[in-house]
Amino acid sequence: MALLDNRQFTKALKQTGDLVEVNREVDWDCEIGAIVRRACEMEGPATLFNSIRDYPGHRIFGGPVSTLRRAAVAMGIQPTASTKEIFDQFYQRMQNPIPPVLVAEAPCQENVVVGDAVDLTMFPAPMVHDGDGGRYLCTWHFVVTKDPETGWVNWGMYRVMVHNERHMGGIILATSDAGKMKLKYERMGKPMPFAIAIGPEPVCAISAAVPLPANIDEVDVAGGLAQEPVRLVRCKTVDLEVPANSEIVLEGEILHDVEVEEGPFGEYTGYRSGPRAPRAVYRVNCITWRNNPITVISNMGMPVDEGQICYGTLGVGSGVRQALEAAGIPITGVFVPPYGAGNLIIVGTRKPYNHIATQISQIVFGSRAGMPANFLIVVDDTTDVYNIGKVLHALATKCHWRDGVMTFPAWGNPLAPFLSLRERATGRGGRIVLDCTWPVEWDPEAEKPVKSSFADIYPKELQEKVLRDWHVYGFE
Amino acid sequence: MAREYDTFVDNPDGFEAGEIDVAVRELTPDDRRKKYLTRYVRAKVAPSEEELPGSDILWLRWQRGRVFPRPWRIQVIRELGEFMPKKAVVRNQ
Repeated sequence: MALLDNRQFTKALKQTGDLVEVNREVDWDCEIGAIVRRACEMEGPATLFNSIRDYPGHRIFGGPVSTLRRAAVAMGIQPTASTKEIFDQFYQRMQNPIPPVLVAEAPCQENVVVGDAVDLTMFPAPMVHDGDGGRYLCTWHFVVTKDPETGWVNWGMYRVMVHNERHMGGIILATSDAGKMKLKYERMGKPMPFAIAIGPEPVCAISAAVPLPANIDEVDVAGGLAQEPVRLVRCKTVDLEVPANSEIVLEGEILHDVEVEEGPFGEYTGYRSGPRAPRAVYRVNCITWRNNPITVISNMGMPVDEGQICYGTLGVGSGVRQALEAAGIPITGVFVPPYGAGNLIIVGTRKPYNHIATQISQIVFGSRAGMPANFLIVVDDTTDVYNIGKVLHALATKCHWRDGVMTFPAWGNPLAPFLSLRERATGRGGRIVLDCTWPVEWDPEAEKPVKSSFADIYPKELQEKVLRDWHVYGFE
Repeated sequence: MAREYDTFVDNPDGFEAGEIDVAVRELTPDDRRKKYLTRYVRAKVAPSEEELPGSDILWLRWQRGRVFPRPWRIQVIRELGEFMPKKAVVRNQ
């Protein structure tokens, strides 16, 4: 497949019926956010806004990958594929990474401003939600940083807000790869160089949203997802590289000795739960961009949007599956449902011994991908993890009120809505494990309840007769 | 015509009049593209224009974004710079 940039991607989405073009003028100040948000909540199409108030010549592409269908299109997979098929393809491709190639010239450097000429308000950064802390130019993007000790380069999708013409504020969690690098620079008394690619090829943004383990190159994973190498170009003012087809690239340094107030922001959990707080300062020293740039936005909030699809279903799901497979757990499936907002993980397993749910929880919550989640449901191999109705039924009928429920204290995700402000600020939270499997010692005939379903409670011969004569009975 | 700003506070009901250092966002800049940019200022604040004649409007927001229905007034005394000094605390957020 060809690696799609946003211009090719919007054309592909138009062909599959997954894009609406809006030609009337719309306002960057909440109107675009409201339209994209509603489309997300309807699980509707992406939107390409062709006329933006105050910004002639600019366009905004909203909700690029807020459905699994669109993630499939971005990867060249049939959009009609099932959730399991898309996830399995994604999982297989991310484990077959392809290194990037470096190019000398790039569309993203068709226009350049440096130094005092930098003005972030020249781009139509939307006010995504009414009451947000500012205009978020960076919601479908990634921040590129380099470890000062090892030279390893990380791509991470960390929200960034316009503070003034030259500066932005952003949340960089201490547990993130960039957070750990930032701490090293701070200890050295140096600012951290960064580049931000806004509106890169969709597979690059998807890769950046996935919580990969440290020292795994997101650019290689993006190549794997596209099944061809990503083309990178050197930045103009920092020793970093970005995808050549990005719409807009910001270059600069994250300052080590000052902060700005950032947030609040409606997040992937479905809430604006974190308060405005002092956070990292990005000083922008250079901006490069394509002609007729398309600012790309993700509108995080109530499902379904890129947060739940790319971070949750694909990202957390694949990371947890990898960790469980590496540990030799006999899993039958892993699913992070979009309506679980990345906080709820479902694992299916064969059960060779009791308390395998405990072991699974230790691996899941101990993994890079599963650490921020709060809920784990473990079902046995008779439950299809992708069928939420069946999972709910297993929870309601197989989870023992005492022995099946485990809770324990753990790091508190500051974006977890159910934590108090103090708990979020100090990182005090917990985890809940719901074991929806029968004890192995239960006698299959005398003790284990018999599933009262067509496939389980009738003789095989009768099932075959009923299936054979189904139309004869008068059913369609 | 009075300009409009807003700021985020812990408790708008407990907001007190006086002279404070505050981060304000521009809501009515001459160039609309500059809306929502942040400034750190030293300012006088009061609950009504009678208590601060000739002042501008200051909307208060709770920390998680909801706007307080009754606007305050603000008179900027001086600019404090673009940033806040980094505090030596470990933050989880």
